[in-house]
Amino acid sequence: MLSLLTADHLAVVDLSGHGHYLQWGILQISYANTIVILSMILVFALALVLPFPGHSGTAPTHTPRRPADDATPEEGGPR
Amino acid sequence: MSTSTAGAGAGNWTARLRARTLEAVPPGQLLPDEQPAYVASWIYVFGVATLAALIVVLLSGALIALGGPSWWHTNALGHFLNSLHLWSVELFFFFMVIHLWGKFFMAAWRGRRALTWMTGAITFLVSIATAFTGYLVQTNVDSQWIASEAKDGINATGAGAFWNVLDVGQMLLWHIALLPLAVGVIVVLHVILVRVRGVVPPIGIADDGTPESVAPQGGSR
Amino acid sequence: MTAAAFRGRQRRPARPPAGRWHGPMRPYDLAKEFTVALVVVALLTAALAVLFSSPDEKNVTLQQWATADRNDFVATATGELAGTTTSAGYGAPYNTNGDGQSIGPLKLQKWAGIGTPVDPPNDFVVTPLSTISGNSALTDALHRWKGAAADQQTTWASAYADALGKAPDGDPAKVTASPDFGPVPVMTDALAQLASAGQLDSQLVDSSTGFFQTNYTKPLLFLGDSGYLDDFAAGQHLHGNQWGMMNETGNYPGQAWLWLYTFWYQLPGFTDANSTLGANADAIIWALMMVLSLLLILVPFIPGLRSIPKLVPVYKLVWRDYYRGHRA
Repeated sequence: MLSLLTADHLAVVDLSGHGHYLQWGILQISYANTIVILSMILVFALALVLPFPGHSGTAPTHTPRRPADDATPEEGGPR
Repeated sequence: MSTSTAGAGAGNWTARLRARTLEAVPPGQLLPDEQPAYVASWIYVFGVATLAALIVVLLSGALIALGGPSWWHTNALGHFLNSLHLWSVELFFFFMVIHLWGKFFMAAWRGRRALTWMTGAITFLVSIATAFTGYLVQTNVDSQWIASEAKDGINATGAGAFWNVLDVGQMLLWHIALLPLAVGVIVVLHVILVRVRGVVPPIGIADDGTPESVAPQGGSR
Repeated sequence: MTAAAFRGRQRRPARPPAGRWHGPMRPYDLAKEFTVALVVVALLTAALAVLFSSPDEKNVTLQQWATADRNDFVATATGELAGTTTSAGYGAPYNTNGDGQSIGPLKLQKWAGIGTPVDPPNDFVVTPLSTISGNSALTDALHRWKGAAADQQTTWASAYADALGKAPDGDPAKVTASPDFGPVPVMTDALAQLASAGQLDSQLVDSSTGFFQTNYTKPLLFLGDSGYLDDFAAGQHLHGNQWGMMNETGNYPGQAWLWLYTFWYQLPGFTDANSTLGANADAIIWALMMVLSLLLILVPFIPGLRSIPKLVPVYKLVWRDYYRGHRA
């Protein structure tokens, strides 16, 4: 399945042929859907374990800044 | 901006609306340039990724709409736009479900955030309906089959008496007008709720950043 | 009243802001994050579109069906006249020839009434044939059909349907002519000719609004009564008992998010159309999915379900850095 240029669409990989399916008992799933679902699980797992840049996890960077323009002297402003 | 209603009559709706709005979302809360220190995990990007995918879905859909419902069958640019629309929808659900998984395991409904969870779940369900109507209006054999099959399910509920999946005109208008509007409104509410309530703190951590003395009950409080 | 007293009266009772964090913060650029996300997702979408394109299997017409499988076309048309097809006995929202599905005493399908009136023998066969002129055999056949009682019509059509079922390949040409069939063979043959010539497709599209038509109920119901679309779907794994709802033609990913909805259709209880469960599968599964959807929406209020995050501590991974830096 290589380059395929047809009159109405371009596709580097032609997915329009005969579908491939995995079968196990009543479970039947296409290769494509399997890849999608496994990718989701993998991405979810990676999102949980991969370190997030710029966060040392030690001292906080700063305490919350009060919004500067929502307070009047007599009211104290909501927060 | 003052939240004071002084100078305005007690019945001034605008002043009261402004006061309530500013109490709910103070300036700086809607477009913050800082966030809680615990918001530091890749799991947090899936909400904005879902939103970005939704924008690509809407843009690609709008571009397809420029030529009407069937031009993409015989036009290479139209087919490419259709491909953009299909893959952005796949990415939309990809990111949205991961976002849902993350929010579930973070019990993100805690701290009076139940409505945030609920609007998110409703967005998911309405998006499924929107995608379904999209498949119905492809105007190819896939549409013919899906319509023929789906009609039985919908007719069984009684909704088929007024919502006819075999009527391409009706389904097209639901797909490009009514359902995207519904998704848009609920998504806006969802995002505003996130801004209003803030990102949920870690389980076992109080609002001031210190550990809670008692382990929290699972559930909204 | 002083201004201060007035403002005091206007202010809402103080309450702690719900979930309003006042612990440690970090810098954050929301606009930049959104822009980066938009660019990345747009590029990813474009890459997928260039790599894989999108499926587009050409739609099927009645003309194709009548040309490619004339025997099946004639058998289906006969079934419409005999009242034995799915459409003929469907019930609401098309006609009153059946009760439709129910969940116990709840007959939602029937109670909703007729939303799109369809009378299969007349809409699919008799009315289109009535537009043909210059065919005296057909004119006589139609005259005979319309003048007969309903019982007689059913008897003719059923007899012809039986004969077609026994003929080799269901070929009408191999059926021995018989007066028991009445005008049905002439009518169904003429309909097949009309369809093969491409003239039936547009005739069946709803013309109640006159010139402009978007309602394809009739041609799709007629097509759905045949095995033609069924065969295509089976080849593409699109049938209900093939997890079809999740699938797409070819090797494309489908609507994987429909996995739970299509799951129920694979269970033995629901696949037997002769059982009560199977005969009402659509209604029961829809009700089940509505309940599950409601449960999803209401997770924050459901004891047990809302405790799972604490019991399966994935959250410890999410916030591990914060916990490490802020031990009790």
